[in-house]
Amino acid sequence: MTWGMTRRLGPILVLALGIALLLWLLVAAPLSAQAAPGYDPVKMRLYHSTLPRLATAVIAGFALSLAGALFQQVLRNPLASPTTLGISAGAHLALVVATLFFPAHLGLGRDAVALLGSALVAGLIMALGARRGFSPLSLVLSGLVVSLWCGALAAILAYLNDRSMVSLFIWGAGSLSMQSWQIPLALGWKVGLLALCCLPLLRPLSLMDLGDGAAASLGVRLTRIRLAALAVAVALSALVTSAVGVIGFIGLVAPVLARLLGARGSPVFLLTSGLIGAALLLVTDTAIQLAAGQFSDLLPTGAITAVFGSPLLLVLLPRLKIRHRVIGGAVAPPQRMPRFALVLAALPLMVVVAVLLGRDAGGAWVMGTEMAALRLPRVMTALAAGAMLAVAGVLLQRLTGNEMASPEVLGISAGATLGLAASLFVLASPGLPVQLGFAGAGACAVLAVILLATRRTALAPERVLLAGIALGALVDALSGLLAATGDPRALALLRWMSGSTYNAAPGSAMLLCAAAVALALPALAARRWLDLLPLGPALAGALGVPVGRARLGLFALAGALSAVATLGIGPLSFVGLMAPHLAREAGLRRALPQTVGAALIGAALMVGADWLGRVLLFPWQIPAGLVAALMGAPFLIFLLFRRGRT
Amino acid sequence: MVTPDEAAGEAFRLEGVGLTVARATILRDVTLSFPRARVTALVGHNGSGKSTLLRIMARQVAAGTGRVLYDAHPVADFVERAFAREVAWLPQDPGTGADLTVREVVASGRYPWHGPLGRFTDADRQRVEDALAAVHLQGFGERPLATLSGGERQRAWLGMLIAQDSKCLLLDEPTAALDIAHQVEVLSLIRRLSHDHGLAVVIVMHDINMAARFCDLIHALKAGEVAASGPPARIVTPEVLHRIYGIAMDVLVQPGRDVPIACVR
Repeated sequence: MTWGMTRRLGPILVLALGIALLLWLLVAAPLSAQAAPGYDPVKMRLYHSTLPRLATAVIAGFALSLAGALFQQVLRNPLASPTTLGISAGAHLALVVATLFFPAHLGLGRDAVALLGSALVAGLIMALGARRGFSPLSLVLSGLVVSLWCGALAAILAYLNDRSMVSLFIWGAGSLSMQSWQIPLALGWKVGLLALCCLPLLRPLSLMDLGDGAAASLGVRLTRIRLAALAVAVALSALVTSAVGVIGFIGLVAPVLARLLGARGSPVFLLTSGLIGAALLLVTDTAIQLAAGQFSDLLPTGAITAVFGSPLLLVLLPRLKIRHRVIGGAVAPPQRMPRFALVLAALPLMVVVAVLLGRDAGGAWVMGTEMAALRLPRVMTALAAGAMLAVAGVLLQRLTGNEMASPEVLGISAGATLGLAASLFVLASPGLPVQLGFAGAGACAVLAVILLATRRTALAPERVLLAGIALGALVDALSGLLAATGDPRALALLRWMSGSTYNAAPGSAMLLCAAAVALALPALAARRWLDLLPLGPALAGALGVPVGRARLGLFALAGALSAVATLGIGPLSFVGLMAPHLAREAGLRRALPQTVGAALIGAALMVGADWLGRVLLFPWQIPAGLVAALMGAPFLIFLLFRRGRT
Repeated sequence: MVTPDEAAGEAFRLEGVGLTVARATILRDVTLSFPRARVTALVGHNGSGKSTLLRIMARQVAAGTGRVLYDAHPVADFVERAFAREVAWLPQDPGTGADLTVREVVASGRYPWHGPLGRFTDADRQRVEDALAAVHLQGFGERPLATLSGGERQRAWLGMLIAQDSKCLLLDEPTAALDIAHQVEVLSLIRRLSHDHGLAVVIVMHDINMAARFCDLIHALKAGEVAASGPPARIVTPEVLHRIYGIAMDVLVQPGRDVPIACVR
């Protein structure tokens, strides 16, 4: 242990020198300035803004990294952290909900609200994990899905209540800007107290490295120690989120660095992780302040750490041993025809209702064809996008052999979002074909990175999923940064991201429908490949499927489908995840019927969501993507629970 | 019923095959021949490279050095489906078959014949039924594979290989999950297929006595090199077994048969 530490002292020294230099750059000017008599804004800024900010960075970094190290130690999962397990996002969502809907109760205690949110997510993730034997990957997978969903929902809630929007965004993305010593002082003693709580846990945690059986036979009360350590970690994450918002990925990076520096054994590992995390956040924040100057208050530190931290997940992927495969089948219900007929009948009915039924200016229900010309483009857009997302979902689930795969989860939709954002910011007013091209390029870029990052492991499903989620988190962080700028184009982007069909025109609707047909046909033609690929690459290859080419082609097809659909309905709908599962529940298991069924179901879901969004809170409109996502997330959780039983 | 000297041609020929992964030599200079209409066993200690050799023959892994010939052509020359029509391979753990039923798994074996777009004809259907009958799973056609026991599942995968109708079977420990009665049944079936229909069969096996009882030829590997090769009577001797496994063994002869039985001294 000591040998490893001394051998690697170099990087630590460099880090320490770097910190000292940055701090000096930040503090030197105000300190050396002539003291002005009486009112001295430079010194006041130093004492009441800069120094508290530095202190907060140190405390928050320490707390998050300690929490991350605890999670990693207890779950024996090198990818666990407040960010990857969704703990921070849970606290964030709870605080947003409380701020927007129960502002009076917030007075009772932000910390309590944050703790409640974190604890709920932690309970959910642990319950899911327990059903899958705490397999590292499935735990992080469910954590990241919950985290992305909480983040998205919080963002949309904030968007719908735009009075408090910009500041909520900035805080939500993790801002360290301070006006007084109040926050660091309050956070300091709480974090210190929790850190002290770790002391009695150190020895049992060390023994647990030996394995559960050995530790239990030495007298460690496994459940009690685990619960205690998890509680401390959850509390640490919640308190930091409550004080400064979501600071992404510090809690993941610092423990990893500690391990790489050779920190072994619980006490050394926890302490080193905490110190490295404090230093890292301090450096990041100081660098941001120096680089962004007076705009640093608007640049959320948490978003920046997420931008730099999420690629680390990609780098770490090859180090992770895959012990658990998620592949497995539900037993199909025997009766299939009645349900399939139901599916077939549902879509036309849905379309008719969506076109004809609406509410008039007074809010009364009206049935008629007067508005059909206006509603038809919206309905067709929703229909085409839903069908395409569903087909893409079928392709991805069959390609990766993983029932959790979908365009939304794999970050392909996020890539399309980023492409579209680029088109909005680079060109003055891009037309639809240009937007389509940019979105397609973004989706394909994400797909390419996923394929490259997982190339050496021959596209192992779990790695593809994790790589996709890491990229999705990266894109989310970047769009969070954009949103925080308050640029009007960013607001247009956010409106589109929430998945509204409000701007659908007849031309674009036709284009989407044509694309849906053109792209769905090759998917249907590849039905035999889609039947055989879930058997695994080795078996499919042995049966004569050109596995490499088939996968590449089908991944590209899924990318194209997601890009076009995302353009129509926004990146967050979970339809691509839901529809393939619903088709399977209806008894459609082979590739061809599942693809057709999923397309119909996806289209029906999206049309239904669009209609609900239009009439539910009339005269306000809830974007169709948001409605679908709100339905999708509970479904996702239900799915995770149910799958765990097999 | 078939004497080993009745030559039926050569299916696989390996010439100086070697494989080195991350500076660890897994196979070195393996030169072996695998005849048609014969069951050949690949035996050896754990980590001797026998599974890897089988995977190289199945084109799942590319050989580092040397040549792998099937029917006198390098295996890399075949396109995917053409190779699958000639050679069928079953990995050690084929899994639970996504959520396919037994009949669908067996029908997957017809892919090399009908391809991605071709019609699934009545002839294909008949092959599938015949294969189900051959592995005694007629009543199980609609059962999801995942709900079957380990032995039944193994037989379903063998059914897929039979439906594949290829001229060569490469099997990686096909009897590992089976009880002794099913081991005998499956190995008898494989032996019958080989001798009656002229299939070249290569089986990776741990049990030297099962290999001696059911195989016509035994190739033994030790640390990635060929340690011995020949008919069971020449391999199952105390000297050769010591060379392969490095422990002292006695060889008895089963009363009433001329099959040698090895046991640890």
